[in-house]
Amino acid sequence: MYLHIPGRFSVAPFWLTLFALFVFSMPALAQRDASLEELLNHANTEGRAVDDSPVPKSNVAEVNLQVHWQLWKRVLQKGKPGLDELKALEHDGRSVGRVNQTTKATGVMAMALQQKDAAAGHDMFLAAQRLAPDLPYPYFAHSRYLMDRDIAAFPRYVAAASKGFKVAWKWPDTRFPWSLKWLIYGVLALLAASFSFLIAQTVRQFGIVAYDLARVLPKGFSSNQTVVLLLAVVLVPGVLLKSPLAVLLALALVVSVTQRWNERLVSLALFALIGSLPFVDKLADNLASYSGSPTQALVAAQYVACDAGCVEDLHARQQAAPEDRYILFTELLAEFRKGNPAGHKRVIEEVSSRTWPADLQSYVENLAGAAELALGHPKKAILWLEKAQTGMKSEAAPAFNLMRAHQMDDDFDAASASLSAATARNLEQVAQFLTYERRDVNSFLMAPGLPVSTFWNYHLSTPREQRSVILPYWKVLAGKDIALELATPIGLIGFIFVLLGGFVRLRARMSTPCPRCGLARDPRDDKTTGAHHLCLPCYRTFVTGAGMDYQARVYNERVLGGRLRFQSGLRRISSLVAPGTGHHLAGRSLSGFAIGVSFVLGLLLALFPLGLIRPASELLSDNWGGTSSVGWMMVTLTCAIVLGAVVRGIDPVQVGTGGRK
Amino acid sequence: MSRKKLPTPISMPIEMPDDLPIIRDNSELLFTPDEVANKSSKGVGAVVVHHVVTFLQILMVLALGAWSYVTYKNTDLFVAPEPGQRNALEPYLVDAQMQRLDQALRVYESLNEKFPVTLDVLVEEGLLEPSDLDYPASSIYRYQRFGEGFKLEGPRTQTNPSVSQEDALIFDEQQ
Repeated sequence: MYLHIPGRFSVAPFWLTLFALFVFSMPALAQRDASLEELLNHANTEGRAVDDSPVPKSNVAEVNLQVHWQLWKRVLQKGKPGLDELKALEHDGRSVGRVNQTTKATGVMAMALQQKDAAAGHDMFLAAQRLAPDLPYPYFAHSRYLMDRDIAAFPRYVAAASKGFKVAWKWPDTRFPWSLKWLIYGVLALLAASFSFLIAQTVRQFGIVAYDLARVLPKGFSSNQTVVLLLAVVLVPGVLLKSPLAVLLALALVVSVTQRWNERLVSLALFALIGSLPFVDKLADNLASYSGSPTQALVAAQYVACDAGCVEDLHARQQAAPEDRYILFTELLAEFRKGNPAGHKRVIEEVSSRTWPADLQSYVENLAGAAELALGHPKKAILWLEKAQTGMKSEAAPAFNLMRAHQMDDDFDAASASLSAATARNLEQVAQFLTYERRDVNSFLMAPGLPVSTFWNYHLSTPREQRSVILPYWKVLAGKDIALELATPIGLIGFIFVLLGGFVRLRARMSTPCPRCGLARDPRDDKTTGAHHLCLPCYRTFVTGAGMDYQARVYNERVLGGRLRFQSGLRRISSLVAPGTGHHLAGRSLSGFAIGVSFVLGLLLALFPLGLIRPASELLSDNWGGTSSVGWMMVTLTCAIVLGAVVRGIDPVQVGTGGRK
Repeated sequence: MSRKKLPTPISMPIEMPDDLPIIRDNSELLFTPDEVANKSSKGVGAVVVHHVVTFLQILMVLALGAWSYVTYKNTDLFVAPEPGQRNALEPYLVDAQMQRLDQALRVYESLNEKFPVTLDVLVEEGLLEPSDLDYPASSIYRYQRFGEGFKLEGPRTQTNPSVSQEDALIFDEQQ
């Protein structure tokens, strides 16, 4: 059986997806599935006799799963989707405690992508989603399949994609690698855009700062001497510290002196970024180290399956770290899923006799309640589950188990109320469980794994060797004498300097670049120019030129006109070389920064959509969640904006003293 | 010194004065100067300051140049990170990549009832990207199929320079 995946994600449909994501977020489009409603009406909360004997262990053998799988492949070869076989596989898998059959779901997904019959393909994707309800890729693949076949049915494929993103956010094996990808790409994009900003600001502001400095220095300092002095301020610290970064930061501080607020905001962002690098470094290490970590093993045990080897491993870990409640919880969960009464008794005993961390408390109470139910003690179970319900506010499990407890206790009104509470929390999960008509611990009761936030906290608390992704590059840029830990105080000092400099500028004492010639526009000329946005020579030449001597006017028009054309050409060419730089040169720094970030981020997403850590189940495509498509869209949009600006010209901002236009 | 005739908007040849000043001074020559602070003092003090500053700056440049020469003559300012340090996260990337290859092998096996002969088959079948086989940074994964299982060895990394038998991922369905 060969896998041949027809076509990759095409870019065009994702334009629609982006729009549709907004539309979908509107509550008016929220739909309720009629079949779910019907299922809930048959949840047996209305008085039929319920078996109140202990809930037995599953009588399904592992080999049954292989039989269903082989049968499904045979049916598929005959051209049918084999939905009954997949349903049997799902139910048997659930019965033996395989919460997410990720390998099988990926296989079904691969075959569904090749289905020419759209209805059959649709059903196969739904089956794949039920086989691994916590895996996001079947939802994304479903969305892509629908999009490729019926572009007009966007509510359906957007709903599938939206569900995929929600599930991805809760699935640690996807969430952490994706977070790392966005973190690293985001920082790289911000750094690249900041560098382009700094270069452009040097061209735009350095001369202005030198002009203003010449005004405040004692008489005798010439313009050239002032420039040399300013260059020394920028270069000397970096040369002495052997640090190119020190040169760049000194330059950023110098040029910030005369910046307007929009430019100053970008400078503030630059220093904030520098200051946050140690935190970014630590976060990157935490995110990357999840792969292959003990935490990932716990996630797999709770959310995929825990076979004999896994239980043995958990037991060994528990022996080595007897106070680690997270390992113990995982071990107890695996014990519960085996369905043996002795195991249930151990669960109750361990939960009762130990103290638990706050983020585990409700989950262990739910587990103990489910174990009591499995032993046929509904009244004891109710006590545990009512406590669990208060703590697990977003989980359907305790309310669902409470419904089972009230059913077994013949209290059908309370069972109905509990069902309502469970469906209000997670309708789909409840509906899926109600389809499992078997009476075994894994199909009849809900014992969910821990949420992603708990795993994250556990991962952070796990001791391990710290690795720095930034440090090797930091040493190259900052030199050996400036430690990475100093980035935060350096960033903070720069941030405060730039911020305070803004208030000095508010007092209209600083010169600004003339939008026509780019030279300093001296605020002391305001009396003559009426605070016009042009500098005095430009003002006299181009605004009140009629009163000028003819020869002087011709000369000025020639020289200043040449400067105007040079400035305009420089903005256009620099925009072509590095998108956003032309906007920076024109004083439109927020736009320029957004363009720069969008271009670099888009390029990274488009060319390396899988990120640094490539998730294990992210097979069959490199464009899950439309990462690459979003990247190309960003690049395309940015290029369109830049090319438009290059053709049309980028007008410099025209602001006089005190913001007057 | 004579200056070239400049074109004018009405293409009229105009004689330009020989000593055209810089733009800012031009306005002051041709117009009545505004009431701006005139800093260009001709006092002796200013001249002394000017020359002293020039002297000091020349000294500073010379001193800085000499210091830089002595300091940097045997070093490069931009020292590239050592090959092993370029990506400190590499061991994690390799771990993740091993998991990814393992998952792809299992999906392939579940559909085809046997493991592939080589890892390239996984790429041909669309399960993996071509870059997966040498990620990160030209890593080489050694794969061997046997009976009903496989053995997958990861690349050597800085922290794991020698791959032992324990590091290999061995899967045998018969066990």
